[in-house]
Amino acid sequence: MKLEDELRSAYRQETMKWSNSPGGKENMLKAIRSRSRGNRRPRKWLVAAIIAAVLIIPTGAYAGYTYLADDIYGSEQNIRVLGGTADDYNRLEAKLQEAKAHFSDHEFTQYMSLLKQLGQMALAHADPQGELHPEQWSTVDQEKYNQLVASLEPFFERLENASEQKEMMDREQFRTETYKAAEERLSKEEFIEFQALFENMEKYEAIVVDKDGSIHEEQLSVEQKKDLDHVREKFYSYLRQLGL
Amino acid sequence: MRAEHEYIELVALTRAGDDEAYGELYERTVTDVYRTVRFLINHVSDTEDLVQDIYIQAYRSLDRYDAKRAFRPWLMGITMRQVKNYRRRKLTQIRFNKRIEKSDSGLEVDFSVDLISKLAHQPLLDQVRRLPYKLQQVVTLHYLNEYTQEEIALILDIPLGTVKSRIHAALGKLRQKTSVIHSFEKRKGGGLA
Repeated sequence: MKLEDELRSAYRQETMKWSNSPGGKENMLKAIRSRSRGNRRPRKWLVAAIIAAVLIIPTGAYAGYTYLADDIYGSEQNIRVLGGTADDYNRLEAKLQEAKAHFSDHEFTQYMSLLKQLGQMALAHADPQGELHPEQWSTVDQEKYNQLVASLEPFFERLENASEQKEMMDREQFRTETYKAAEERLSKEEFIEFQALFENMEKYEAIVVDKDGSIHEEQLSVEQKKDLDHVREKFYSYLRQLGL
Repeated sequence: MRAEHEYIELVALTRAGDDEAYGELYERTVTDVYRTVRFLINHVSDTEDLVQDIYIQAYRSLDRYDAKRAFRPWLMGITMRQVKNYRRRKLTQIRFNKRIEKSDSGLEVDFSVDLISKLAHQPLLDQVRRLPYKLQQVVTLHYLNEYTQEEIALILDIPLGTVKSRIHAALGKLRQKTSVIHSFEKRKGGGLA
């Protein structure tokens, strides 16, 4: 049989009995309906945006980011009124800094202007906890809100992608931090063993992970697999000991 | 052609707020999406969740859907992007991310799938799974889903020439590997034939 036909028939045989669970459709529709009614799970960026916007407006000044940063720290009072904590503000500060670094000046201005509009809506409609319930608003307001959220969406998406990529870059930093914690908390012998385990894990990772990121654990021999399990177990128990 | 027309009608109804129409779109397409995702991520229990995410994402992107494009390849494009994100998340886990404690599934290939595929005796697909992901992807779209090379170029947003060369490279590698297996089986005096 020709290889191409063989492939087709192998795929057919393999996947013939694969199908999504019968409840899948209802679950999916339920998720969509609850989202469109406005009580969808708040996305982390959206929440930050609303807090940001709510904060910006009362000052009456929307001059730009520097002003906002100064202002955030001076207005912890406002924070509490809206049910936020100092931590929320530090996080927000970090997020805005990140956004500023990520977008061009023009984009950042646009982003902030959208946040401002969202803020005006939030001011008019937020409950004492600073939460929004668009489903209770007039259709005009709901539409405006949905439009705003939709135009902010691409910005949020880019920011989320950026932080995902950053996570992957953080590996070097993770290694440095872990080593530091390990050196502080473990005995000298333990630390040496821990370093060896870390390097072992990296060695296996280099074998099983392809350049394009696919994982092929089957490339290990039986002995290697056994060894990996062993190394992994010890490595994790150290991580647990370190509270990581 | 008629089916395509019906897809567009269902999209229009969904946009107008008819959830049932979206349910119909789901029913018509989910098997393809499910099988593709399951093959590419090779993890049964995650497949279901990912498929749900894909349809939610597609629903949210429906406003941007251009009715001049065929619906199924458009949906498959979203599917491929979600699979890519999933793989990225998994990879971050395997890379000693701080969340490592919660699960070590990043390294764990789903055992049951492995076993089933062995029982089903599909050495050819095992070979496919060993190809670099980019090759696995085009092969699966072409031979499992029967998308044309032009459609694959649209789905993955890459030039047609790249699709052709990836399929060519994948078949070349598979030929090499399977011929080794065949000659081994012949020497054993058994084999499939």
